[in-house]
Amino acid sequence: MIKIAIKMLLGDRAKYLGLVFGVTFATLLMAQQVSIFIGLMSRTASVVHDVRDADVWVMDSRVRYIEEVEPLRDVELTTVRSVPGVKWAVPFYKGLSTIRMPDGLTQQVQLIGVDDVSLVGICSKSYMGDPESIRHPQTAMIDKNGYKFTWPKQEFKLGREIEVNDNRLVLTAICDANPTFLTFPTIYVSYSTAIQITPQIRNKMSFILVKSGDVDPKVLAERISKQTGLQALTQEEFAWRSINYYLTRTGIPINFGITVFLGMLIGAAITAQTFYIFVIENLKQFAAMKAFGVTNGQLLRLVLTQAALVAFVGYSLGIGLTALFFKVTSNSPAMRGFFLHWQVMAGSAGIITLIILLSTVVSLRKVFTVDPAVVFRG
Amino acid sequence: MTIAVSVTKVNKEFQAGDEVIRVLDDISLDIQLGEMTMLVGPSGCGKTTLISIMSGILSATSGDVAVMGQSLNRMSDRQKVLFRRQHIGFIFQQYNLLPALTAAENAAMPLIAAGIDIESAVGQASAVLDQIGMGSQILKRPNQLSGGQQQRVAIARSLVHHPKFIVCDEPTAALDAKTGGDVMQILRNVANDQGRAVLIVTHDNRIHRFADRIVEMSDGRIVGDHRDQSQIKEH
Repeated sequence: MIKIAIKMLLGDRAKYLGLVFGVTFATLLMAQQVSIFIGLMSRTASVVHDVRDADVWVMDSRVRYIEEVEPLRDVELTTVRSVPGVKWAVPFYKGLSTIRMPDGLTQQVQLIGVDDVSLVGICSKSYMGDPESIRHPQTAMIDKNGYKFTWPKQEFKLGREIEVNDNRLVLTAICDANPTFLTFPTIYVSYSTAIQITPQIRNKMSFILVKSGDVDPKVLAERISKQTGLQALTQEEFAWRSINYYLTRTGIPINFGITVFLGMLIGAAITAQTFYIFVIENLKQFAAMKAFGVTNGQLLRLVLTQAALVAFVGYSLGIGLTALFFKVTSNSPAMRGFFLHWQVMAGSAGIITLIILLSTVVSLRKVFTVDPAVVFRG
Repeated sequence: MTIAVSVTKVNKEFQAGDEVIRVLDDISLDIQLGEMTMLVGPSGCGKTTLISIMSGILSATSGDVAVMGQSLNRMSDRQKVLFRRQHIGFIFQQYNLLPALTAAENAAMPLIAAGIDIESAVGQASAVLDQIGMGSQILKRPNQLSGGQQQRVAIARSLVHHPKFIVCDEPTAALDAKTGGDVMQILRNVANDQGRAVLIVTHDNRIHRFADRIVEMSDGRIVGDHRDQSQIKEH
């Protein structure tokens, strides 16, 4: 019966392609949009994830996400260092600045200032030059995407000069940082350089990065909060807090949710309707089959086989096209860091299965209730 | 002659709104093995309802139907399906062949439904197709066959599982006189030479000459039963 089911399905090429298209379209739209959404949300925490050595982030208690900086007093660094279980603690500067290039053009950038000695918080994937060179005064490192954004269609070259608040900096390194949500170029400088080139205000330290000793980072974070009155979060907690901020405070999830839902709905409608029509058009054949002794159980297996084949082929094509999309766009700065997660593949498979099962159930009702006597009615 | 189908005091009523319509009224009829019986009468007289009940597709409101000695009334719906699969062959006016399957695969469907593997079933079906002059067409699909050829495939499908009772609904309605005659000759051979009971519902009086017996219906009753060849020819 399985061979018959497959032959029946493939025999009507146009309907078969219509069914596969519906599933492919639904899969592509769901998998692609959800992957982009995950990628986008991951970007909101990329600065946090790029800091590899620290376990705990310490910040002002009013900070709700990574882009919201409330400067700390310098003395807080010493206070944190005094908390038992802290192996080391270093300052971290994060803020927005405007750079001016020799040709007079300006560009807003994200400025990161890392501890002069340890360089904790610096982008770890070097692309060109020596990241440690930023220990020298008036030097900086820029991220690869930012370089392309600032100097489009130009070759990577060290030694370029930029101006930050009337301070001249020379680019001595380029790194491959994870893309950020705001897409501004990221300039890495030493903490002392950051203090020197940013406008004079009383406090400048954005965060304190802490490495725990033998203590569990979560326990240490709680201990720091309790002893200093500052907010201390583990890296993952802070990353998720930043992601959650965007999830709850922006319209991004709703917009993506609507797109995914519509994709699902349209895909489901196309698939369900085409499958229903396919079954209805074969209803007389099903009635004839029932007349000469095909049971409802056999018809169930037949229709389920057809549905499973459509789902498998459509889903495979949809996922293949999604993977191809991310492969083709992987070199585009706007799409960097976006990829197809296995969880998205699994989730899409689950939803496609659901769509196909619903279509099958609706169609099967007709098949089960068809009166075999209709074959005698001309 | 042995009785293949025995219909005893069968009534069939349908509900149409508040009204109860009696479609079959106290029908009693025996169908013999080795005989081609034609069921004739005007549209709406109950012929199709009667063959549906005789083949276990519809249930009678009252009365009994026994096919090859087994009462259909005592069977569940599933038992009826399995009984049809084993003992009854069907030929429909519109052939009802699956367009995606070849002639041999279509003819093999009752065997495939019975769980015989497709290769073996197609082999047996090809042999039956060969017997009725369709040996060269076994790999063709329905849309590559003429109406007469499609009806022959349907005949092969009705014979492949060796049923004793074959029900035909207007088998020549869509065929020209010559092709219809050829199809009827095959069915007559099936009845007379192979000892099966062939019951044909028809409006086509061109084929009455092939019948061994003509049962005439009107308004849900049997109003005539002719075995005499002269009476048949007059029909």
